Amino acid sequence: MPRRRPGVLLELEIAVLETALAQAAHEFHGFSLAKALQEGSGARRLTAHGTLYKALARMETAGLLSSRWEDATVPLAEGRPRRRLYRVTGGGELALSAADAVVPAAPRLRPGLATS
Amino acid sequence: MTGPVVAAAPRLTVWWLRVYTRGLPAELRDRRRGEIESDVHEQLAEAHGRPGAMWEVVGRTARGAVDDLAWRREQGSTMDVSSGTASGLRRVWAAMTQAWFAPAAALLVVFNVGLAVAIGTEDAGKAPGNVVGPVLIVVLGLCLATGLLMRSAGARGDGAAATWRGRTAVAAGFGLALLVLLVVIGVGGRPVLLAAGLVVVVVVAGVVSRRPSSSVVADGLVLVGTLPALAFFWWVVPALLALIVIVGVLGAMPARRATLA
Repeated sequence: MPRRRPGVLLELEIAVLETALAQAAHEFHGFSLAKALQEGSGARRLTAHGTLYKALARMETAGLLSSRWEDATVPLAEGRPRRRLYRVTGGGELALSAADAVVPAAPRLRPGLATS
Repeated sequence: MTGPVVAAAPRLTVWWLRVYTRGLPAELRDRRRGEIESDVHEQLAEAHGRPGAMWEVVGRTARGAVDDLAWRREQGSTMDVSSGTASGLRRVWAAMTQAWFAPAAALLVVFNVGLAVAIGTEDAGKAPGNVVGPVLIVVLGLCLATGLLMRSAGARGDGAAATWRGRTAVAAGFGLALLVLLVVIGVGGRPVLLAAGLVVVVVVAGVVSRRPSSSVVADGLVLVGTLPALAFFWWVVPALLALIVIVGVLGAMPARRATLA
């Protein structure tokens, strides 16, 4: 696999940032992001677990995203596992702006990304 | 995994998740597992029992398996190994790739075992020589393998080094006792005496040394383990491997001491 240049966003990372920033909700979780990415791109399948969460982990390490576990009372009440909630950081917004400045992206924003 | 829906999640996904997160630090492992479990739950809950939903989850797992492994490799190379439990295979791999001469040393371990088997099963062999000889060679092979693992643990500077020291002390003690026994009963000739003497020197040096990683013992055990290959010098290849290992260990000693100091 070729080594990527520092500061250069991959296509999936750009899509994640665009998708997240297009939402009214500030925070998103993995599955809601996968759904929004699928709807936005018109893909037939959801992004694979490994691909999605590896990208999220990498973006968090790079300071493009931040994350936290949601309050334990909500999933308890709803009878489901806790969600890991992500939000785009200021660094993520800047990185996306820089990427758009280099290569103007085609409209890829997609609705429907919510934490609930 | 907990919860009724997650409990019904495809077993392949659950199995794979456990496989590639095994041995990671608890926080990292639990986060990854928690995220995927939540994702699977959400996907199945949204499917409302639709046929094929399970297979879609399995498909997402299968398509991401390569990325899972890449992620795991990244975590493995950056995690603090003192907080994780390295698997046996990882330890062996780390030991075999720790230095340029380590593969040659690993081949010598295989040579020692093969030589012991060959001598032990020789038709013309006479007791007790065809028993004592193979045992001695296997012990020297164990010394070599133990030394390699100790060097690897010491180089990582992990918390397992102390454990390794304890285990190695037992292994070295066992080897020493066996060799002394051989000398006492007078079965062996000069090669046995030489091997016993070297092991005694190595163990004593290790006990005297107060270095936490017992680098003297590790290097000494590796050197002692090359003796069978040197003894059978007319088989050129093993002897060359032994010389490579000796040069490598002796050449790396100053740098290792500086690092461990």
